[in-house]
Amino acid sequence: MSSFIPFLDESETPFSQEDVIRARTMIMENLNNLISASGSPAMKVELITKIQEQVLKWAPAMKVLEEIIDDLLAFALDVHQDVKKCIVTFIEEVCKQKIKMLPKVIKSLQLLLREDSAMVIKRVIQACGVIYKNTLQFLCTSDDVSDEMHESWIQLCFIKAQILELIDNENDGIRTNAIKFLEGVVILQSFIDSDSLKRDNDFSLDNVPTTSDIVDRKKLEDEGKNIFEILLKFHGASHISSVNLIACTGTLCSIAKLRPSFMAQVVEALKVLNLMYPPTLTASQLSSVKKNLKMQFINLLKLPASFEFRSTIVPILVDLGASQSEINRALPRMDKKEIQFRTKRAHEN
Amino acid sequence: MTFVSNLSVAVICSSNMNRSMEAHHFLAKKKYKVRSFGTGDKVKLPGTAVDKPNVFEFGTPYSEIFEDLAQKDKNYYTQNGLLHMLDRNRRIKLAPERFQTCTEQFDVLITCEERVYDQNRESTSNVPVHVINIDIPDNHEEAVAGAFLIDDLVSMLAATSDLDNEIDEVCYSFETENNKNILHCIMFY
Repeated sequence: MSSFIPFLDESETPFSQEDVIRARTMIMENLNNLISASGSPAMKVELITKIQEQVLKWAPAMKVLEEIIDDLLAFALDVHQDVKKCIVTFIEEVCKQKIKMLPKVIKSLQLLLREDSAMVIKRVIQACGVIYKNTLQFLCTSDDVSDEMHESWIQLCFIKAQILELIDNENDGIRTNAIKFLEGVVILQSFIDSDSLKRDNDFSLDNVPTTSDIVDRKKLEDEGKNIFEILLKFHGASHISSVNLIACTGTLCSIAKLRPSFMAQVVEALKVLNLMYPPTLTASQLSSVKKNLKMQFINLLKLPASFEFRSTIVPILVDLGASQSEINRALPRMDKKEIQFRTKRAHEN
Repeated sequence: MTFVSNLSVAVICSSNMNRSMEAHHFLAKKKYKVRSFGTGDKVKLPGTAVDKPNVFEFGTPYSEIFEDLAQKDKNYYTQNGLLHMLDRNRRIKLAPERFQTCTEQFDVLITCEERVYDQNRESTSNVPVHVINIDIPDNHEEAVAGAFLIDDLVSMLAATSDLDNEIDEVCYSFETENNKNILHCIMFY
Protein backbone atom coordinates (compact mmCIF):
# COMPACT_ATOMS: atom_id res chain seq x y z
CA MET A 1 0.00 0.00 0.00
CA SER A 2 1.26 3.53 -0.80
CA SER A 3 2.47 5.67 2.04
CA PHE A 4 0.80 9.01 2.64
CA ILE A 5 1.50 11.58 -0.06
CA PRO A 6 0.62 15.22 0.70
CA PHE A 7 -2.30 16.59 -1.29
CA LEU A 8 -1.60 18.55 -4.40
CA ASP A 9 -1.99 22.31 -4.35
CA GLU A 10 -5.69 22.87 -3.89
CA SER A 11 -5.74 26.64 -3.95
CA GLU A 12 -7.56 26.68 -7.30
CA THR A 13 -10.16 24.04 -6.43
CA PRO A 14 -13.67 24.89 -5.22
CA PHE A 15 -14.04 21.95 -2.81
CA SER A 16 -12.92 21.82 0.80
CA GLN A 17 -10.23 19.82 2.53
CA GLU A 18 -13.04 17.89 4.26
CA ASP A 19 -14.37 16.80 0.85
CA VAL A 20 -10.97 15.44 -0.06
CA ILE A 21 -10.64 13.61 3.25
CA ARG A 22 -14.09 12.09 2.77
CA ALA A 23 -13.22 11.03 -0.78
CA ARG A 24 -9.93 9.55 0.35
CA THR A 25 -11.62 7.54 3.12
CA MET A 26 -14.15 6.03 0.72
CA ILE A 27 -11.59 5.23 -1.96
CA MET A 28 -9.13 3.74 0.52
CA GLU A 29 -11.87 1.51 1.89
CA ASN A 30 -12.61 0.18 -1.58
CA LEU A 31 -8.92 -0.16 -2.37
CA ASN A 32 -8.29 -2.13 0.81
CA ASN A 33 -11.23 -4.40 -0.02
CA LEU A 34 -9.81 -4.85 -3.52
CA ILE A 35 -6.35 -5.74 -2.27
CA SER A 36 -7.75 -8.26 0.19
CA ALA A 37 -10.29 -9.69 -2.31
CA SER A 38 -8.99 -13.12 -3.11
CA GLY A 39 -10.22 -15.14 -6.01
CA SER A 40 -13.46 -13.67 -7.30
CA PRO A 41 -12.71 -11.71 -10.50
CA ALA A 42 -16.28 -10.34 -10.52
CA MET A 43 -15.72 -8.77 -7.11
CA LYS A 44 -12.41 -7.26 -8.22
CA VAL A 45 -13.99 -5.85 -11.39
CA GLU A 46 -16.79 -4.34 -9.33
CA LEU A 47 -14.37 -2.69 -6.90
CA ILE A 48 -12.04 -1.37 -9.63
CA THR A 49 -15.06 0.08 -11.45
CA LYS A 50 -16.27 1.65 -8.22
CA ILE A 51 -12.89 3.24 -7.52
CA GLN A 52 -12.67 4.43 -11.12
CA GLU A 53 -16.07 6.11 -10.87
CA GLN A 54 -15.18 7.75 -7.56
CA VAL A 55 -11.83 9.01 -8.77
CA LEU A 56 -12.96 10.25 -12.15
CA LYS A 57 -16.47 11.51 -11.49
CA TRP A 58 -15.99 13.19 -8.16
CA ALA A 59 -13.59 16.13 -8.31
CA PRO A 60 -12.24 15.90 -4.73
CA ALA A 61 -11.39 12.25 -5.31
CA MET A 62 -9.21 13.12 -8.30
CA LYS A 63 -6.72 14.44 -5.77
CA VAL A 64 -6.32 10.92 -4.40
CA LEU A 65 -5.58 9.40 -7.81
CA GLU A 66 -1.81 9.74 -7.64
CA GLU A 67 -1.78 8.11 -4.24
CA ILE A 68 -3.64 5.00 -5.28
CA ILE A 69 -2.75 4.53 -8.94
CA ASP A 70 0.23 2.21 -8.42
CA ASP A 71 -1.77 -0.08 -6.15
CA LEU A 72 -4.54 -0.22 -8.72
CA LEU A 73 -2.23 -0.79 -11.68
CA ALA A 74 -0.74 -3.78 -9.87
CA PHE A 75 -3.93 -5.59 -10.92
CA ALA A 76 -2.65 -5.55 -14.51
CA LEU A 77 -0.78 -8.66 -13.32
CA ASP A 78 -3.94 -10.38 -12.07
CA VAL A 79 -4.57 -13.86 -13.42
CA HIS A 80 -8.09 -13.09 -14.67
CA GLN A 81 -8.55 -11.46 -18.07
CA ASP A 82 -11.70 -9.61 -16.92
CA VAL A 83 -9.68 -7.88 -14.21
CA LYS A 84 -6.97 -6.98 -16.73
CA LYS A 85 -9.56 -5.62 -19.15
CA CYS A 86 -11.01 -3.57 -16.33
CA ILE A 87 -7.57 -2.07 -15.65
CA VAL A 88 -7.29 -1.14 -19.34
CA THR A 89 -10.63 0.66 -19.07
CA PHE A 90 -9.34 2.45 -15.98
CA ILE A 91 -6.19 3.53 -17.83
CA GLU A 92 -8.24 4.73 -20.81
CA GLU A 93 -10.61 6.75 -18.61
CA VAL A 94 -7.73 8.29 -16.66
CA CYS A 95 -6.05 9.33 -19.92
CA LYS A 96 -9.31 10.77 -21.25
CA GLN A 97 -9.53 13.07 -18.27
CA LYS A 98 -5.94 13.66 -17.36
CA ILE A 99 -3.47 12.77 -20.09
CA LYS A 100 -0.65 14.07 -17.88
CA MET A 101 -1.00 10.75 -16.02
CA LEU A 102 0.32 8.89 -19.08
CA PRO A 103 3.84 8.45 -17.63
CA LYS A 104 2.24 6.67 -14.68
CA VAL A 105 0.26 4.20 -16.80
CA ILE A 106 2.29 3.63 -19.96
CA LYS A 107 4.28 0.68 -18.58
CA SER A 108 1.11 -1.15 -17.59
CA LEU A 109 -0.28 -0.53 -21.07
CA GLN A 110 2.86 -2.03 -22.66
CA LEU A 111 2.64 -4.99 -20.35
CA LEU A 112 -1.03 -5.62 -21.14
CA LEU A 113 -0.39 -5.45 -24.89
CA ARG A 114 1.99 -8.38 -24.51
CA GLU A 115 -0.68 -10.51 -22.82
CA ASP A 116 -1.58 -14.01 -24.02
CA SER A 117 -5.28 -13.26 -23.90
CA ALA A 118 -6.71 -11.95 -27.19
CA MET A 119 -9.53 -10.28 -25.22
CA VAL A 120 -7.04 -8.17 -23.26
CA ILE A 121 -4.96 -7.31 -26.32
CA LYS A 122 -8.08 -6.16 -28.22
CA ARG A 123 -9.12 -3.98 -25.30
CA VAL A 124 -5.64 -2.42 -25.13
CA ILE A 125 -5.72 -1.63 -28.86
CA GLN A 126 -9.11 0.06 -28.46
CA ALA A 127 -7.84 2.13 -25.53
CA CYS A 128 -4.67 3.07 -27.41
CA GLY A 129 -6.73 4.77 -30.14
CA VAL A 130 -8.04 7.28 -27.61
CA ILE A 131 -4.77 7.58 -25.69
CA TYR A 132 -2.69 8.17 -28.83
CA LYS A 133 -4.97 10.96 -30.00
CA ASN A 134 -5.12 12.65 -26.60
CA THR A 135 -1.36 12.47 -26.18
CA LEU A 136 -0.62 13.95 -29.60
CA GLN A 137 -3.19 16.67 -28.95
CA PHE A 138 -1.58 17.44 -25.58
CA LEU A 139 1.95 17.56 -26.98
CA CYS A 140 0.84 19.96 -29.70
CA THR A 141 -1.09 22.32 -27.47
CA SER A 142 0.79 22.35 -24.18
CA ASP A 143 3.65 24.72 -23.39
CA ASP A 144 4.70 22.58 -20.49
CA VAL A 145 5.76 19.10 -21.63
CA SER A 146 7.79 17.31 -18.99
CA ASP A 147 10.68 14.98 -19.79
CA GLU A 148 8.56 12.14 -18.43
CA MET A 149 5.80 12.98 -20.88
CA HIS A 150 8.30 13.14 -23.73
CA GLU A 151 9.60 9.70 -22.77
CA SER A 152 6.02 8.36 -22.61
CA TRP A 153 5.37 9.64 -26.13
CA ILE A 154 8.37 7.63 -27.33
CA GLN A 155 6.98 4.56 -25.57
CA LEU A 156 3.55 5.20 -27.10
CA CYS A 157 5.15 5.28 -30.54
CA PHE A 158 6.65 1.85 -29.78
CA ILE A 159 3.16 0.64 -28.89
CA LYS A 160 1.91 2.06 -32.21
CA ALA A 161 4.59 0.06 -34.04
CA GLN A 162 3.58 -3.09 -32.13
CA ILE A 163 -0.08 -2.61 -33.08
CA LEU A 164 0.96 -2.11 -36.70
CA GLU A 165 2.52 -5.57 -36.59
CA LEU A 166 -0.68 -7.00 -35.13
CA ILE A 167 -2.54 -6.63 -38.44
CA ASP A 168 -0.75 -9.86 -39.34
CA ASN A 169 -1.73 -11.57 -36.08
CA GLU A 170 -3.31 -15.00 -36.38
CA ASN A 171 -6.39 -13.84 -34.43
CA ASP A 172 -9.12 -12.31 -36.62
CA GLY A 173 -10.43 -10.01 -33.87
CA ILE A 174 -6.97 -8.64 -33.04
CA ARG A 175 -6.47 -7.83 -36.73
CA THR A 176 -9.86 -6.06 -36.87
CA ASN A 177 -8.99 -3.90 -33.87
CA ALA A 178 -5.54 -3.13 -35.27
CA ILE A 179 -7.10 -1.97 -38.55
CA LYS A 180 -9.39 0.42 -36.70
CA PHE A 181 -6.51 1.78 -34.62
CA LEU A 182 -4.45 2.41 -37.76
CA GLU A 183 -7.38 4.26 -39.34
CA GLY A 184 -7.17 6.71 -36.44
CA VAL A 185 -3.40 7.11 -36.88
CA VAL A 186 -3.73 7.88 -40.61
CA ILE A 187 -6.47 10.45 -39.90
CA LEU A 188 -4.40 12.14 -37.18
CA GLN A 189 -1.25 12.10 -39.27
CA SER A 190 -2.61 13.66 -42.47
CA PHE A 191 -3.87 17.08 -43.51
CA ILE A 192 -7.48 18.17 -43.84
CA ASP A 193 -8.67 20.06 -46.92
CA SER A 194 -11.75 22.05 -47.85
CA ASP A 195 -13.63 18.85 -48.84
CA SER A 196 -12.91 17.01 -45.59
CA LEU A 197 -16.02 15.91 -43.77
CA LYS A 198 -16.23 18.04 -40.61
CA ARG A 199 -16.13 16.12 -37.35
CA ASP A 200 -16.25 17.33 -33.76
CA ASN A 201 -12.87 17.38 -32.06
CA ASP A 202 -11.05 16.46 -35.26
CA PHE A 203 -7.28 16.63 -35.02
CA SER A 204 -4.95 16.58 -37.98
CA LEU A 205 -1.43 17.44 -39.01
CA ASP A 206 -2.68 21.01 -39.48
CA ASN A 207 -2.77 21.21 -35.68
CA VAL A 208 0.80 19.98 -35.28
CA PRO A 209 3.21 22.91 -34.95
CA THR A 210 6.16 22.91 -37.33
CA THR A 211 8.39 24.16 -34.54
CA SER A 212 7.81 21.36 -32.02
CA ASP A 213 10.92 19.73 -30.53
CA ILE A 214 8.98 16.62 -29.61
CA VAL A 215 6.68 15.93 -32.54
CA ASP A 216 8.16 15.90 -36.03
CA ARG A 217 5.37 16.85 -38.45
CA LYS A 218 7.11 15.55 -41.57
CA LYS A 219 7.93 12.26 -39.91
CA LEU A 220 4.32 11.84 -38.79
CA GLU A 221 3.07 12.63 -42.29
CA ASP A 222 5.39 10.09 -43.89
CA GLU A 223 4.42 7.48 -41.32
CA GLY A 224 0.71 8.18 -41.91
CA LYS A 225 1.17 7.67 -45.66
CA ASN A 226 3.14 4.50 -45.05
CA ILE A 227 0.43 3.09 -42.78
CA PHE A 228 -2.20 3.97 -45.37
CA GLU A 229 -0.21 2.00 -47.97
CA ILE A 230 -0.07 -0.95 -45.57
CA LEU A 231 -3.85 -0.78 -45.14
CA LEU A 232 -4.29 -0.72 -48.94
CA LYS A 233 -2.07 -3.77 -49.27
CA PHE A 234 -3.95 -5.55 -46.49
CA HIS A 235 -7.27 -4.73 -48.19
CA GLY A 236 -6.02 -6.20 -51.46
CA ALA A 237 -4.72 -9.45 -49.96
CA SER A 238 -6.31 -12.51 -51.53
CA HIS A 239 -6.50 -14.45 -48.25
CA ILE A 240 -8.23 -11.72 -46.23
CA SER A 241 -11.16 -12.83 -44.03
CA SER A 242 -14.61 -11.41 -44.71
CA VAL A 243 -14.75 -9.58 -41.34
CA ASN A 244 -11.32 -8.04 -41.89
CA LEU A 245 -12.25 -7.09 -45.44
CA ILE A 246 -15.45 -5.36 -44.33
CA ALA A 247 -13.59 -3.59 -41.51
CA CYS A 248 -10.79 -2.51 -43.82
CA THR A 249 -13.17 -1.27 -46.53
CA GLY A 250 -14.90 0.82 -43.85
CA THR A 251 -11.54 2.12 -42.65
CA LEU A 252 -10.44 3.17 -46.13
CA CYS A 253 -13.77 4.92 -46.73
CA SER A 254 -13.57 6.75 -43.38
CA ILE A 255 -10.09 7.94 -44.33
CA ALA A 256 -11.37 9.13 -47.73
CA LYS A 257 -14.26 11.00 -46.12
CA LEU A 258 -12.13 12.80 -43.55
CA ARG A 259 -8.99 13.14 -45.68
CA PRO A 260 -10.08 13.38 -49.35
CA SER A 261 -6.46 13.51 -50.57
CA PHE A 262 -6.63 9.70 -50.26
CA MET A 263 -9.90 9.44 -52.23
CA ALA A 264 -8.33 8.36 -55.56
CA GLN A 265 -6.45 5.44 -54.00
CA VAL A 266 -9.48 4.37 -51.97
CA VAL A 267 -11.81 4.37 -55.00
CA GLU A 268 -9.20 2.38 -56.91
CA ALA A 269 -8.86 -0.17 -54.09
CA LEU A 270 -12.63 -0.64 -53.92
CA LYS A 271 -12.81 -0.93 -57.69
CA VAL A 272 -10.15 -3.64 -57.70
CA LEU A 273 -12.04 -5.48 -54.96
CA ASN A 274 -15.20 -5.50 -57.08
CA LEU A 275 -13.20 -6.95 -59.97
CA MET A 276 -11.58 -9.66 -57.90
CA TYR A 277 -13.11 -10.80 -54.63
CA PRO A 278 -11.03 -13.03 -52.37
CA PRO A 279 -11.54 -16.63 -53.53
CA THR A 280 -11.69 -17.81 -49.92
CA LEU A 281 -15.08 -16.16 -49.25
CA THR A 282 -18.15 -18.36 -49.02
CA ALA A 283 -21.21 -17.43 -51.12
CA SER A 284 -22.88 -15.88 -48.11
CA GLN A 285 -19.77 -13.92 -47.11
CA LEU A 286 -19.51 -12.67 -50.68
CA SER A 287 -23.10 -11.34 -50.44
CA SER A 288 -22.24 -9.54 -47.20
CA VAL A 289 -19.04 -8.07 -48.66
CA LYS A 290 -20.83 -6.90 -51.81
CA LYS A 291 -23.67 -5.38 -49.82
CA ASN A 292 -21.16 -3.54 -47.66
CA LEU A 293 -19.23 -2.38 -50.72
CA LYS A 294 -22.41 -0.99 -52.28
CA MET A 295 -23.22 0.90 -49.07
CA GLN A 296 -19.69 2.31 -48.88
CA PHE A 297 -19.75 3.45 -52.52
CA ILE A 298 -23.15 5.13 -51.99
CA ASN A 299 -21.69 6.95 -48.97
CA LEU A 300 -18.65 8.05 -50.98
CA LEU A 301 -20.89 9.25 -53.80
CA LYS A 302 -22.68 11.55 -51.36
CA LEU A 303 -19.45 13.48 -50.83
CA PRO A 304 -18.64 16.44 -53.07
CA ALA A 305 -15.01 15.25 -52.88
CA SER A 306 -15.90 12.17 -54.95
CA PHE A 307 -17.13 14.32 -57.89
CA GLU A 308 -14.24 13.46 -60.18
CA PHE A 309 -14.66 9.73 -59.46
CA ARG A 310 -18.34 9.51 -60.36
CA SER A 311 -17.60 7.95 -63.73
CA THR A 312 -15.82 5.13 -61.89
CA ILE A 313 -18.22 4.77 -58.97
CA VAL A 314 -21.58 4.85 -60.78
CA PRO A 315 -20.98 1.84 -63.11
CA ILE A 316 -19.71 -0.19 -60.15
CA LEU A 317 -22.84 0.71 -58.18
CA VAL A 318 -24.99 -0.42 -61.11
CA ASP A 319 -22.98 -3.64 -61.21
CA LEU A 320 -23.63 -4.08 -57.47
CA GLY A 321 -27.38 -3.76 -58.03
CA ALA A 322 -28.00 -0.12 -57.12
CA SER A 323 -31.03 1.39 -58.85
CA GLN A 324 -30.80 4.67 -60.76
CA SER A 325 -32.98 6.38 -58.16
CA GLU A 326 -30.68 5.18 -55.35
CA ILE A 327 -27.73 6.64 -57.24
CA ASN A 328 -29.52 9.92 -57.98
CA ARG A 329 -30.49 10.28 -54.34
CA ALA A 330 -26.85 9.88 -53.31
CA LEU A 331 -25.52 12.58 -55.65
CA PRO A 332 -24.99 15.84 -53.74
CA ARG A 333 -26.61 19.00 -55.04
CA MET A 334 -24.14 21.41 -56.62
CA ASP A 335 -24.66 24.70 -58.41
CA LYS A 336 -23.29 25.30 -61.91
CA LYS A 337 -20.32 27.21 -60.62
CA GLU A 338 -19.24 24.39 -58.36
CA ILE A 339 -19.73 21.81 -61.10
CA GLN A 340 -17.56 23.89 -63.45
CA PHE A 341 -14.89 24.28 -60.78
CA ARG A 342 -14.84 20.59 -59.96
CA THR A 343 -14.89 19.55 -63.63
CA LYS A 344 -11.91 21.80 -64.31
CA ARG A 345 -10.06 20.44 -61.31
CA ALA A 346 -10.81 16.87 -62.40
CA HIS A 347 -9.33 17.57 -65.84
CA GLU A 348 -6.23 19.10 -64.29
CA ASN A 349 -5.76 16.06 -62.10
CA MET B 1 -29.95 -11.58 -12.42
CA THR B 2 -27.69 -14.45 -13.47
CA PHE B 3 -27.15 -15.05 -17.16
CA VAL B 4 -26.10 -18.22 -18.91
CA SER B 5 -23.52 -16.29 -20.95
CA ASN B 6 -21.69 -12.96 -20.96
CA LEU B 7 -22.66 -12.44 -24.59
CA SER B 8 -24.86 -9.34 -24.89
CA VAL B 9 -27.36 -9.37 -27.74
CA ALA B 10 -29.79 -6.85 -29.21
CA VAL B 11 -32.55 -8.13 -31.49
CA ILE B 12 -33.84 -5.43 -33.81
CA CYS B 13 -36.85 -5.20 -36.12
CA SER B 14 -38.80 -2.17 -37.27
CA SER B 15 -41.41 -1.60 -34.54
CA ASN B 16 -40.14 -3.70 -31.58
CA MET B 17 -43.50 -5.43 -31.49
CA ASN B 18 -43.53 -8.81 -33.17
CA ARG B 19 -40.28 -10.34 -34.45
CA SER B 20 -37.80 -8.75 -32.04
CA MET B 21 -40.15 -9.26 -29.08
CA GLU B 22 -40.77 -12.92 -29.91
CA ALA B 23 -37.01 -13.47 -29.97
CA HIS B 24 -36.52 -11.32 -26.85
CA HIS B 25 -39.10 -13.45 -25.02
CA PHE B 26 -37.44 -16.66 -26.18
CA LEU B 27 -33.88 -15.61 -25.33
CA ALA B 28 -34.78 -14.01 -21.99
CA LYS B 29 -36.51 -17.22 -20.93
CA LYS B 30 -33.25 -19.04 -21.59
CA LYS B 31 -31.46 -16.40 -19.49
CA TYR B 32 -29.44 -14.75 -22.23
CA LYS B 33 -28.41 -11.10 -21.82
CA VAL B 34 -30.83 -9.66 -24.38
CA ARG B 35 -32.59 -6.43 -25.26
CA SER B 36 -34.85 -5.65 -28.21
CA PHE B 37 -35.43 -2.58 -30.34
CA GLY B 38 -37.10 -1.14 -33.43
CA THR B 39 -35.55 1.24 -35.93
CA GLY B 40 -38.61 2.79 -37.56
CA ASP B 41 -39.65 6.42 -37.04
CA LYS B 42 -42.81 5.27 -35.29
CA VAL B 43 -44.32 2.06 -33.99
CA LYS B 44 -46.78 0.86 -36.61
CA LEU B 45 -49.43 -1.83 -36.14
CA PRO B 46 -52.03 -2.99 -38.67
CA GLY B 47 -55.41 -1.26 -38.37
CA THR B 48 -58.89 -2.29 -39.41
CA ALA B 49 -58.10 -1.17 -42.97
CA VAL B 50 -54.86 -1.26 -44.99
CA ASP B 51 -54.75 2.53 -45.19
CA LYS B 52 -55.48 3.00 -41.48
CA PRO B 53 -52.51 1.68 -39.53
CA ASN B 54 -52.24 2.30 -35.79
CA VAL B 55 -49.26 4.55 -35.21
CA PHE B 56 -47.60 5.18 -31.85
CA GLU B 57 -44.46 6.90 -30.62
CA PHE B 58 -41.61 4.69 -29.38
CA GLY B 59 -41.78 4.74 -25.61
CA THR B 60 -45.58 4.40 -25.49
CA PRO B 61 -46.14 1.58 -22.96
CA TYR B 62 -47.40 -1.69 -24.41
CA SER B 63 -50.24 -1.51 -21.86
CA GLU B 64 -51.39 1.83 -23.25
CA ILE B 65 -51.30 0.48 -26.80
CA PHE B 66 -53.22 -2.60 -25.60
CA GLU B 67 -55.92 -0.41 -24.01
CA ASP B 68 -56.10 1.82 -27.07
CA LEU B 69 -56.68 -1.08 -29.47
CA ALA B 70 -59.06 -2.85 -27.08
CA GLN B 71 -61.13 0.30 -26.92
CA LYS B 72 -61.14 0.74 -30.71
CA ASP B 73 -62.24 -2.80 -31.64
CA LYS B 74 -61.63 -5.53 -29.07
CA ASN B 75 -63.04 -8.37 -31.17
CA TYR B 76 -61.08 -7.50 -34.27
CA TYR B 77 -57.74 -7.05 -32.48
CA THR B 78 -58.30 -10.20 -30.42
CA GLN B 79 -58.96 -12.24 -33.55
CA ASN B 80 -55.95 -10.94 -35.46
CA GLY B 81 -53.72 -11.66 -32.46
CA LEU B 82 -52.54 -8.12 -31.74
CA LEU B 83 -53.95 -7.97 -28.23
CA HIS B 84 -52.37 -11.30 -27.39
CA MET B 85 -49.03 -10.05 -28.73
CA LEU B 86 -49.29 -6.79 -26.74
CA ASP B 87 -50.22 -8.71 -23.61
CA ARG B 88 -47.12 -10.88 -24.10
CA ASN B 89 -44.96 -7.80 -24.72
CA ARG B 90 -46.06 -5.94 -21.61
CA ARG B 91 -44.99 -8.89 -19.50
CA ILE B 92 -41.48 -8.62 -20.98
CA LYS B 93 -40.83 -4.88 -20.74
CA LEU B 94 -42.57 -1.54 -20.43
CA ALA B 95 -42.51 -0.08 -23.94
CA PRO B 96 -41.09 -0.40 -27.46
CA GLU B 97 -37.59 1.09 -27.66
CA ARG B 98 -35.91 2.80 -30.61
CA PHE B 99 -32.43 1.48 -31.33
CA GLN B 100 -31.09 4.85 -32.48
CA THR B 101 -31.56 6.33 -29.02
CA CYS B 102 -29.91 3.47 -27.13
CA THR B 103 -26.43 4.17 -25.74
CA GLU B 104 -25.69 0.67 -24.48
CA GLN B 105 -23.12 -1.35 -26.39
CA PHE B 106 -23.70 -4.98 -27.36
CA ASP B 107 -21.52 -7.80 -28.68
CA VAL B 108 -23.99 -8.79 -31.39
CA LEU B 109 -26.87 -7.02 -33.14
CA ILE B 110 -29.34 -9.37 -34.81
CA THR B 111 -31.61 -7.69 -37.34
CA CYS B 112 -34.79 -9.29 -38.64
CA GLU B 113 -34.84 -7.79 -42.14
CA GLU B 114 -32.39 -6.31 -44.65
CA ARG B 115 -33.88 -2.82 -44.44
CA VAL B 116 -32.97 -2.72 -40.75
CA TYR B 117 -29.53 -4.29 -41.37
CA ASP B 118 -28.82 -1.68 -44.06
CA GLN B 119 -29.39 1.31 -41.84
CA ASN B 120 -26.32 3.48 -41.60
CA ARG B 121 -24.75 3.82 -38.22
CA GLU B 122 -22.23 6.58 -37.75
CA SER B 123 -19.15 5.35 -35.93
CA THR B 124 -17.82 7.43 -33.05
CA SER B 125 -15.55 4.96 -31.30
CA ASN B 126 -13.37 1.99 -32.12
CA VAL B 127 -15.40 -0.64 -30.28
CA PRO B 128 -16.57 -3.29 -32.78
CA VAL B 129 -19.97 -4.95 -32.93
CA HIS B 130 -21.09 -7.86 -35.10
CA VAL B 131 -24.27 -7.26 -37.09
CA ILE B 132 -26.11 -10.32 -38.36
CA ASN B 133 -29.29 -10.33 -40.42
CA ILE B 134 -31.80 -13.16 -40.51
CA ASP B 135 -34.74 -12.37 -42.76
CA ILE B 136 -38.03 -13.01 -40.95
CA PRO B 137 -41.37 -12.09 -42.56
CA ASP B 138 -43.45 -9.89 -40.24
CA ASN B 139 -46.26 -12.22 -39.14
CA HIS B 140 -46.89 -14.26 -36.02
CA GLU B 141 -45.98 -17.72 -37.34
CA GLU B 142 -42.75 -16.55 -38.97
CA ALA B 143 -41.81 -14.58 -35.85
CA VAL B 144 -42.07 -17.78 -33.80
CA ALA B 145 -40.00 -19.74 -36.33
CA GLY B 146 -37.54 -16.82 -36.48
CA ALA B 147 -37.16 -16.81 -32.70
CA PHE B 148 -36.12 -20.49 -32.86
CA LEU B 149 -33.51 -19.62 -35.48
CA ILE B 150 -32.22 -16.65 -33.48
CA ASP B 151 -32.04 -18.81 -30.36
CA ASP B 152 -30.06 -21.40 -32.30
CA LEU B 153 -27.65 -18.75 -33.57
CA VAL B 154 -27.23 -17.10 -30.16
CA SER B 155 -26.52 -20.43 -28.49
CA MET B 156 -23.80 -21.10 -31.08
CA LEU B 157 -22.33 -17.62 -30.62
CA ALA B 158 -22.44 -17.93 -26.83
CA ALA B 159 -20.57 -21.24 -26.99
CA THR B 160 -17.49 -19.66 -28.61
CA SER B 161 -14.44 -18.92 -26.49
CA ASP B 162 -13.38 -16.04 -28.75
CA LEU B 163 -16.37 -14.69 -30.65
CA ASP B 164 -14.41 -12.41 -33.01
CA ASN B 165 -12.13 -15.23 -34.03
CA GLU B 166 -14.80 -17.88 -34.47
CA ILE B 167 -17.80 -16.00 -35.80
CA ASP B 168 -17.10 -16.83 -39.45
CA GLU B 169 -17.25 -20.56 -38.71
CA VAL B 170 -20.36 -20.12 -36.56
CA CYS B 171 -22.19 -18.25 -39.33
CA TYR B 172 -21.17 -20.91 -41.84
CA SER B 173 -22.34 -23.77 -39.59
CA PHE B 174 -25.59 -21.98 -38.82
CA GLU B 175 -26.34 -21.46 -42.51
CA THR B 176 -25.52 -25.05 -43.38
CA GLU B 177 -27.50 -26.57 -40.52
CA ASN B 178 -30.59 -24.39 -41.05
CA ASN B 179 -30.36 -23.98 -44.81
CA LYS B 180 -30.83 -20.27 -44.30
CA ASN B 181 -28.72 -17.43 -45.72
CA ILE B 182 -27.64 -14.70 -43.37
CA LEU B 183 -25.72 -11.45 -43.75
CA HIS B 184 -22.89 -10.60 -41.40
CA CYS B 185 -20.69 -7.55 -41.07
CA ILE B 186 -18.70 -5.75 -38.44
CA MET B 187 -19.37 -2.16 -37.48
CA PHE B 188 -17.92 0.18 -34.89
CA TYR B 189 -19.75 2.10 -32.17
